Amino acid sequence: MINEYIETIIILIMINSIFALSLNLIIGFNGQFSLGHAAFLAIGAYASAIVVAAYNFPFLIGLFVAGVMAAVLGLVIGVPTLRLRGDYLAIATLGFAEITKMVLLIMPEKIFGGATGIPGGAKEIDKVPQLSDLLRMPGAIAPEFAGKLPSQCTGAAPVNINQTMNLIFCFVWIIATLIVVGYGFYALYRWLKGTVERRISGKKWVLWSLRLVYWGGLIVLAVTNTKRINDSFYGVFGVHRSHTWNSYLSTQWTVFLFLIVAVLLITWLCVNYLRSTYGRAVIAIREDEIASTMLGIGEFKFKLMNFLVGTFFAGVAGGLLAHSIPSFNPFEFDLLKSVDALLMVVLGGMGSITGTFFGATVLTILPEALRQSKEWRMVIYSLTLVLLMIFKPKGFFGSSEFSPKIPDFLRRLMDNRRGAKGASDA
Amino acid sequence: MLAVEDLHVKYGAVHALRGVTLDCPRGKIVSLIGANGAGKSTILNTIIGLVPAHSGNVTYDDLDITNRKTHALVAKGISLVPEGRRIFLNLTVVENLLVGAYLTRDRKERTRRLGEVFALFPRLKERMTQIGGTLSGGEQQMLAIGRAMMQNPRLLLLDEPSLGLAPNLVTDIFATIRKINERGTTILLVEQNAFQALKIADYAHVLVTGTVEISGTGGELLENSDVKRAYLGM
Ligand SMILES: Nc1ncnc2c1ncn2[C@@H]1O[C@H](COP(=O)(O)OP(=O)(O)OP(=O)(O)O)[C@@H](O)[C@H]1O
Ligand SMILES: [Mg+2]
Repeated sequence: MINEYIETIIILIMINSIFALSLNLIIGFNGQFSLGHAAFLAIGAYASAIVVAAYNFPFLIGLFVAGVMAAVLGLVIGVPTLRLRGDYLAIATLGFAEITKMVLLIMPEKIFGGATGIPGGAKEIDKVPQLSDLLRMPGAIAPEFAGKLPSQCTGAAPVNINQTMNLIFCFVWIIATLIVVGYGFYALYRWLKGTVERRISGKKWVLWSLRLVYWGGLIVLAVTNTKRINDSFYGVFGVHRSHTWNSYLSTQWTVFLFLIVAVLLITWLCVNYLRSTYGRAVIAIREDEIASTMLGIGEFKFKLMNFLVGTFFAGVAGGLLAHSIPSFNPFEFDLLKSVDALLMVVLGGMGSITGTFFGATVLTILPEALRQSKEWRMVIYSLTLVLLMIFKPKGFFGSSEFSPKIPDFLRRLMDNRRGAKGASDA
Repeated sequence: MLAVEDLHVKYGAVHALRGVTLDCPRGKIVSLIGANGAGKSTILNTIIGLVPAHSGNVTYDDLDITNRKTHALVAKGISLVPEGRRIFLNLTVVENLLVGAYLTRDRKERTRRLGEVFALFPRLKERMTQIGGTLSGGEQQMLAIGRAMMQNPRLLLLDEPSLGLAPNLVTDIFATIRKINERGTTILLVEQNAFQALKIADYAHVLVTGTVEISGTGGELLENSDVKRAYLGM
């Protein structure tokens, strides 16, 4: 077990990575300087908290709703502001973000609290079920047991399971796991096969044994997993609560694993999005708006679409955040929060995904590391940033990506599929 | 294929085009020559919808396209190679070209066009992964034309493709333009290099301060004494 303080920091690094990445899509890849990104984080956090805590929806649905609500707000803010340029856009988005914050503040209490079950009302949201609760037992948890370990819950029905939802959650989770694991194995297999083919051309039996190992391995995996899957359904139907699908892992690692998968999944989506024709149009607009228009790229359409993608992921980050901190209120999602994300993007490099992770990691740890030196904290923090800006004005990664040699085979696999290799052969 | 009729364009108080009428028959090369500031670029930009027309109209395939949105026109098969190239300086050659084909959803078709462009400009294939900004001027011009060709246009508008190129490269570029035309693309060419432009043109127009002064076939204009004196320096 890692101590709780460090656990929180690790969780925040991952959530901040998603948040900063979503902003980098807008600023780094499309060149639209938005200064109100915290608003989308806020909407995501509130949406997920309400959906999960008050209406007992499963957590994944909460995250999805968080993203959608943020994108809806993105539409409301984006349509009038994205026609503006440069500083004007920054000011307009900042204004809208402040308005969002105020609206959350004055929102009638009964929307959040009272009858719907979230104590604290609009001003302060707390007792939102935390990731560790949500992931321990798929499905929704009755609010009175939020924050408690199952063993601490006494009484007849410790967990209020919405069975249908639970089933869906389990199913989605299992399929997602199979896809991720299966894809990893497939990539490994292809790579091995490719290497073998290049080295020992013509030796059929080597290839056959490789195929045997691959398929055999998959079958063994499927068989051994059947037990787990089976167990998980015991958990789903409440037969035996120790047999939940994740009883094999400690809660802490389940949370980490979940977040790692979330970060990887979102990164993968972003990379594919940026490599698609839409992504190219978005980058072209950053490079030269007029030239893009001349190529027939409907400028506003793509700016808005990209903005919605960015705000969706910001909302997802907000949803994750809601279940990772004990409580929150609208004041946390102020200009400073937007600037935090901006700094992560700038530090890592605008238009660099790996840079974003670097920036998010450094700027999450740095303020914490400086916590001891109380009043000097902000001074050192700011000074560090100023120095970085002077010596690394383009951020640490510029717009390039850090790509170690190992995932090369993965990239090759992707390139094959995407036709880029075909293009170079043409 | 393209017809411009009594086109007027105003930039605030500047009356840049004062009733331009010209015609671009299918499969031909039409050249537009004229002094600096005559309004040549303005015509192309108005056709493609970057600059609003004040009055008059533009017809394309019997369709009124006056003041249409640029992206709609590109989708209809009109492409512009802008003055000064405007390639994406931070993107690689391939990326530049692929942005050009962004309207094409079909991956195979994109790859096919990429192959065509590389056949047209083998130099671009050699420089595939080079960053656009580090290309030489001539290569950048090839890239700009290649990028427009990725849209598989039926009508290609070229704004001073020979600008700033060494004489032998100019000859190359014009040869390429002819090649593109022979494959069935109609071309409207704006040029300072009047001699070359008239030589490859089926029809040509001379533009003087916003109006067409002289029109004829390329050969006729090459022989015209006014044109000779003013634009060919003879
Ligand atoms: N955006 C603008 N605002 C105001 N005036 C403009 C604008 N663009 C062009 N003009 C004016 O319109 C006239 C025609 O310009 P245009 O660019 O069409 O000339 P051109 O024939 O292409 O010249 P060149 O050979 O130098 O490229 C010029 O007098 C120019 O100053
Ligand atoms: Mg011009």
